[in-house]
Amino acid sequence: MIGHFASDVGHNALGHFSPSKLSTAITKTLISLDSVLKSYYRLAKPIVFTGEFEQSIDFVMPTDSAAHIILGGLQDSDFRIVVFGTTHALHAGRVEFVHNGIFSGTSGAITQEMGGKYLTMAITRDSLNTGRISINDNILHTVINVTHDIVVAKIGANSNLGSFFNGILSTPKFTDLSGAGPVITTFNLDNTTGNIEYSQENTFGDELWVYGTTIADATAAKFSPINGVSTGAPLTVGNSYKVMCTWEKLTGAIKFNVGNDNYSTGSVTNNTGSFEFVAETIGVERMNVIELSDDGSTADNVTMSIKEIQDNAVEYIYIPESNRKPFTFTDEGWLCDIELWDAGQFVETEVVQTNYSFPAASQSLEIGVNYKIETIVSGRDFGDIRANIGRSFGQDGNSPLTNGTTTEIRTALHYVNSLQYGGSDITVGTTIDISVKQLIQVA
Amino acid sequence: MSYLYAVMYKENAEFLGGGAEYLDGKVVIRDITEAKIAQFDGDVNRVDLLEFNPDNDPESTEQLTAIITQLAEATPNHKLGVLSRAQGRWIHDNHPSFKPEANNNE
Repeated sequence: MIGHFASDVGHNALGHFSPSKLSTAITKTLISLDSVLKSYYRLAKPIVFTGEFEQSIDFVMPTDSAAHIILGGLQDSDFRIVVFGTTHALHAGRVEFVHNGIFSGTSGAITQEMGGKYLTMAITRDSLNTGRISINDNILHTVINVTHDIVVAKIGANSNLGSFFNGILSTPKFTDLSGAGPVITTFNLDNTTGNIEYSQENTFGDELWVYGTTIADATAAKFSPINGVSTGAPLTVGNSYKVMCTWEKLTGAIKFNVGNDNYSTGSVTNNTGSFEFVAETIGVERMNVIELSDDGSTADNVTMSIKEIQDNAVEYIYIPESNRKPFTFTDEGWLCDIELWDAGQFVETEVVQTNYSFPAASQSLEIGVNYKIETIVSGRDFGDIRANIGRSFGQDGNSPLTNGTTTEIRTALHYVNSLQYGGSDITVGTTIDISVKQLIQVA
Repeated sequence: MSYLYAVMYKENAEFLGGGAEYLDGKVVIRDITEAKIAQFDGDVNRVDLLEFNPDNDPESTEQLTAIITQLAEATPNHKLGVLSRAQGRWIHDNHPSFKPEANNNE
């Protein structure tokens, strides 16, 4: 059963044949979460599992000592799934299942190689209330008597936003099996449509209403999707919506009312505000109407947006644009399309050379992350050329590179923004081409 | 990709668009650029230029701890601390104001 929930193009789907034989390259965008920035994904509509369920998510963790939160709940300690880094002091390479504040204890050690590898986790609860965590279809953790509701509200953070995930989370899939048929919800964690803002992005759904106007001095203005001011669609009772508003000058509070004048859903006191609500039937006048009123003393230029919150709406919290990277599936795994060594080809001009440094001003390596280093050497008759990347990788380069193409896959072990090639007594005129790309191997 | 972290008080960080909040109103922001740093009219502490290395430079570790502790004083100050990635991750792992909460099962 678990096997049905592997990644769409991960190891289970493609591991048995060569990507080089595929007629079309498979690419995907992967986003790295940064635990220092407290990056995570917030589900606008938390999913509540009352009975049998299956969940799956792909993840890539660096080699480190942190406790990584895969999934988190809505309230303190109600639910979370933790993976401990392979150098964690107490629970290295193990997982933990917390439900309703009850710790399952830690699992046995994960059998797959973890650091920087593309893995798929499945979390299930069967009809006998037994919970299980599997990684790449291998059952790692079994927890009996998981009888509480399981609420998934965050991906990459625990319920109280105290701990986070460092690395890549992708392709989450949640299947509720408690009803007559499976109800599947997926979330887009690799948004490729752009429009990512620094601190947060939302995929709440189609824009229902965008409005811009000037509110006059101390005038209560009322705007509605259905009163003729806007051409937007009316709200639907029972559906969830998100309202976002900005204005240029604020001298008083701007309030949103939903349903009628007496029902204030939210107010904003800064120059940007938002709130979420479920449309209700309250009173009979202006039912399902959003009203915007300003009690300020000077005119404000206001823009207002309403989006219906879809079931799989997800908000990107503190995720920088630069953390989105395109990857292509190759024989070696997911290879990032971004070239990190941008110095291009260089020609040796001296017999005794100095090191050529990784272009640290614009690029850097990331600890615990794997890189594919491809070097093309030509024109060498003598001399020692080797990767002199000891500080970056914790080791010296391999044996001297000769003419031709050499490929190495290394894991960065230290926080140093440098990768160097060095050597001695190299033939003048030797040309060296270097390519460095992030590589996520499929475990 | 190479990047810098900014550590400062939230109330001074609007020109950077805000960031992840920590205790006492501090925020950590990533991808701060030289152009953005130049926009800041307060004190800028370029800790990143110290090339602090957490692996083999304990004296710099103490210096970084002192700098961050100063920034974390109760009274909000008008300072912008610029950290390299190594430094940012180091304070996240080691400084009491920035460390993640201990796992409840530990």
